[in-house]
Amino acid sequence: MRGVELIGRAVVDPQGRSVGYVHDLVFRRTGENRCRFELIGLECGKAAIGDRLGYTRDAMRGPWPLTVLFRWLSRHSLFVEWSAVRRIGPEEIEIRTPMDELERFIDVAP
Amino acid sequence: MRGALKITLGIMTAIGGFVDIGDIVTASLTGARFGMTLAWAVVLATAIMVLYGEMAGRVAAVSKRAMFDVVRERLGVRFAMVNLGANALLSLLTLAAEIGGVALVLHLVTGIHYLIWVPVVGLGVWLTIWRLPFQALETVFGLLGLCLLVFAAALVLLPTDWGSLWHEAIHPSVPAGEALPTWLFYAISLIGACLVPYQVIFFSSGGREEKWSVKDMKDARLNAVVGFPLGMVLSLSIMAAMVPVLRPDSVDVRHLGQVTLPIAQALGVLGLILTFIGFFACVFAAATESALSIGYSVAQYFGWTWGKRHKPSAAPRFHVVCLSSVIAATGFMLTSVDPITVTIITVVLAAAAIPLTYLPLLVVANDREYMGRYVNKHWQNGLATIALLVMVVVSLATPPLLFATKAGQ
Amino acid sequence: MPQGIVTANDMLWDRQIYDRDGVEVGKVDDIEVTIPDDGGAPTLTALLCGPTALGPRLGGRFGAWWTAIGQRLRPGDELYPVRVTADMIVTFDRHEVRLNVTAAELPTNRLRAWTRQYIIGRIPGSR
Repeated sequence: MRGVELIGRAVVDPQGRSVGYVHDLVFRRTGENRCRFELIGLECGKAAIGDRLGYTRDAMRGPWPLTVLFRWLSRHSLFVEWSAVRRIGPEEIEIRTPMDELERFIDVAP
Repeated sequence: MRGALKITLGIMTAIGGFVDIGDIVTASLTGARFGMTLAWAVVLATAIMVLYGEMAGRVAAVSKRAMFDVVRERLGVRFAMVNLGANALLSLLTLAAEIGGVALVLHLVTGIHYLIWVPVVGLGVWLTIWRLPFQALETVFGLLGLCLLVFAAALVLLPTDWGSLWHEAIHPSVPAGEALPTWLFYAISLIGACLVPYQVIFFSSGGREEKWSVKDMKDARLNAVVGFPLGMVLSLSIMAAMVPVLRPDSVDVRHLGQVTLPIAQALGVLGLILTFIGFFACVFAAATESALSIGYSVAQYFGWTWGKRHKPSAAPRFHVVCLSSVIAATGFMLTSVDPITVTIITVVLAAAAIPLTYLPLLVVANDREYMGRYVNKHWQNGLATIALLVMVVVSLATPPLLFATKAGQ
Repeated sequence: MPQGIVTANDMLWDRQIYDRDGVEVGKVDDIEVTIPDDGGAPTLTALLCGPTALGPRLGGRFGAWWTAIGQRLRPGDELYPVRVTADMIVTFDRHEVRLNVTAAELPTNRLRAWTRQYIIGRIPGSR
């Protein structure tokens, strides 16, 4: 499966509500030289630009207008665990967890 | 002496990027038409350039990242592709304008029609990229470009009214008989000429060519802090030299020959020779820089081997891009479009495209994982944010002003 | 969230790949994840390089066109991109990827070799 098959896909919860689009893939690094990457989940939301620029990470320090703006834009981004993914269709990704039980990405971001 | 040689990258970037055909044309045009009332635009643009040039150098030295590595990592593959296309097109136009500019200088010197010179210049630019080592490129053109200080000398010898020049410069206002949109349009063209994006691409890639590391940070900083203001001094003196000679007759500068009138009047033949050497060095350097920056940006986007530090056979795709850019730009100039018109269009388009290149730089300069303790300081961020705001305003104001004033008529 | 959590945007996509000798191989144009036979979480099995990997990410007509060009450049008009498998990777940080093979051993080298042989190599002074 290629990354491009996941990114940008619409995500819907069991009630058919739109969770947003996949912005990013979240991995856990393991292995001896930390080169094994396990896919643990998807980041979904409406606006991807802040994430793309790196503003969801703590390491980004300012300038504060940009930090505030991009964090605000990605405030609704949600984290979908891989185990909650039920089906990857050609248009949509269906998940098992209802939308309101998902964690906010900003709370789990590295 | 070693120290002096080390800042040649800054001087060359300043000479070639700052004082290129765009700057010579806009500075002399505005000087002859608006006096020093637009000097603020050059000063403002220089301040922005120093700020962002220093950042580009620091990012290149610390994170070992050149401009388009950063653009692709941070803007994502699609937006970066749009950015690459826009920048490459703009640099191609710039390259064409510079090739035309060198041909115009050679026409003034020899009297031979400029179109005959265009292919010769194109070949020269390509040979320089192909064979001349990066260090030699910097040193030779950087130092020769300093001949343009002859404009400052001319200013001393001409009947300059220093008081009114100074007064105009620090009390900017629209001169009588001119419309505000026109005045602003020329302000934007000056800013565009000073901040052409290829400068940052060239400066950051040049830092990688010279294998800058954290140890060289001081040099990188010095390059930006000395080089760009030097460029500002050169272009302000060109602007000011027009005032006593061309402004009384309200000459509309349409030919490069008119720009040399103050020199001819003040310094005679020797002055003219120095001017031509200076023009040639600056504009030729700018031509190679813009051609290289196309190669740099394309190769960095796709992750190819790039740079003059490798033999051409080790970086074949980079050299193919540079070569085809030179051929395309030369071919464009051979269609006998007016080089001065191409120049003005280029600087105006550059003004609109500025934020594309400068935003990702600001973002990366704030990333602690890349920059460690060399991230931007608070005051730098403060100034850079204001500068970014200025750039966005300039960029948004460009299209309406372009149409409202029919390109500054 | 525990240590060792990274995202594709921060760490994988669009990073520069260097070979054993520090020669540029290309960018991480896309990634390949595979669900292990025993089920469980998918793992990264390869980095994908070249226009056929980049094209779909660019999307739209331009991306399709890019993919088509890339396909023509691959031997046998192969559509699946060049794979740099996970076992070739030595180090992986936010700056770059280093491999334990040389660029010449990888099929990403074709355009480079072609331009060197037919264009740049024929111009005097290229070496």
